[in-house]
Amino acid sequence: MSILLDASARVLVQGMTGGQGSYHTRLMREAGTAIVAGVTPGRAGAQVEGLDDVPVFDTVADAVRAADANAACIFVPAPFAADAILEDAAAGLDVIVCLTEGIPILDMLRVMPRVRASGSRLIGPNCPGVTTPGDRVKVGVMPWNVHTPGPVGVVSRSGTLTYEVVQHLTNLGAGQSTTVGIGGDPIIGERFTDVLALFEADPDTRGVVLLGEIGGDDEERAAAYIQQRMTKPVSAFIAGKTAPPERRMGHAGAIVSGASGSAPAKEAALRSAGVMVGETPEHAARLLAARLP
Amino acid sequence: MATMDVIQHHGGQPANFLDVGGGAGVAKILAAFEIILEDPRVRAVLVNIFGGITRADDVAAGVIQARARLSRQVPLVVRVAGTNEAQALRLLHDAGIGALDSMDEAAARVVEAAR
Repeated sequence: MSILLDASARVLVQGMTGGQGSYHTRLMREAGTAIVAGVTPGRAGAQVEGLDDVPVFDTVADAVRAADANAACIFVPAPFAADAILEDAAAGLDVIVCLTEGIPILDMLRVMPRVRASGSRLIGPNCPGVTTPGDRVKVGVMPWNVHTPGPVGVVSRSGTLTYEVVQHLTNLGAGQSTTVGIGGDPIIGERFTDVLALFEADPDTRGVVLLGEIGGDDEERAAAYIQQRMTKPVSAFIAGKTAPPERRMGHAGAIVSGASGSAPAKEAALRSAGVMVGETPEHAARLLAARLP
Repeated sequence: MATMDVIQHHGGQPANFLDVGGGAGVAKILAAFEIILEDPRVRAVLVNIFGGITRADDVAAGVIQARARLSRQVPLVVRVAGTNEAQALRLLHDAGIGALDSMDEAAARVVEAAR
């Protein structure tokens, strides 16, 4: 078992005809992901180099009808990405992974109520995607070779930090059930608490590493959830201890405003919920690996 | 951002936080070096990229070009991993640039170099 994506995933890629889209679609496929369609408006029937056997459709609805897709991966440029998400939600896809960085907040405010009403789970935007090593499924851009199957769930606001910690876990012999990058934007679909609930319910996940950063209160909400509901061990690393206040640090959502959103406050909330907080990403990986039942 | 934290963890002081962002290519890496080296207080540069959407070999090519064109020479510590890691390490090796494979080790090394 795993969360969000397993061997039954049939993935359509929006923006597969573009440079990043085609490149990373080939890598997803090399990992073992079933890529069943590409979608680019106005490019139906197009052939993509190295993906000749993957049909390209004008719309998500066409791709679902013809290729039975149940998940989407979005590489569409920011001005068009909100519409891409809406198309997936309208088609009733189970999981929508949106990698696009820079989608306007006002677009996301318009999109989120419709995603929630649809029952689709949105991962991102501005995220690296979801990887389930045991089922050879990767939707997004995470480096496949650092992963190995195992019992650790990873959930993160940062792509790079995810890879860093997955590499350390793998080196420690602690493989992963599923790794989830929820994205670095202020408005995202699934949040820490949603993904923690999935890991808590997944029989194959025996512990979780949570990778947070400054900004917002998602880590504080995660701490409250862990304290009240979680039975599995959790370790964490919070990036941005050295970040100056009132500056946006790489991610649109990574900003300390006034007294809220600072790394020490998040670490304190997590510690008081019984979470093992690491000094470095490697330390967080070691803390969890040592506690695996 | 975590790179800054790890530098501080090893007793160093980050002068500049420059996130090249997802999918950075050669031109972006070149520009990044120019911006960073405008600050005369910078005594060493750490490049730490774990590529997902970013391809490590693009970063390596950028670092190699930047080193050849730098207006001033400072110690350079490079750590690249992730997408196209093997190609990146080969490029760096052929250019005579040693690369480290751990962020902790790279941070410790750059702090040492800046002293």
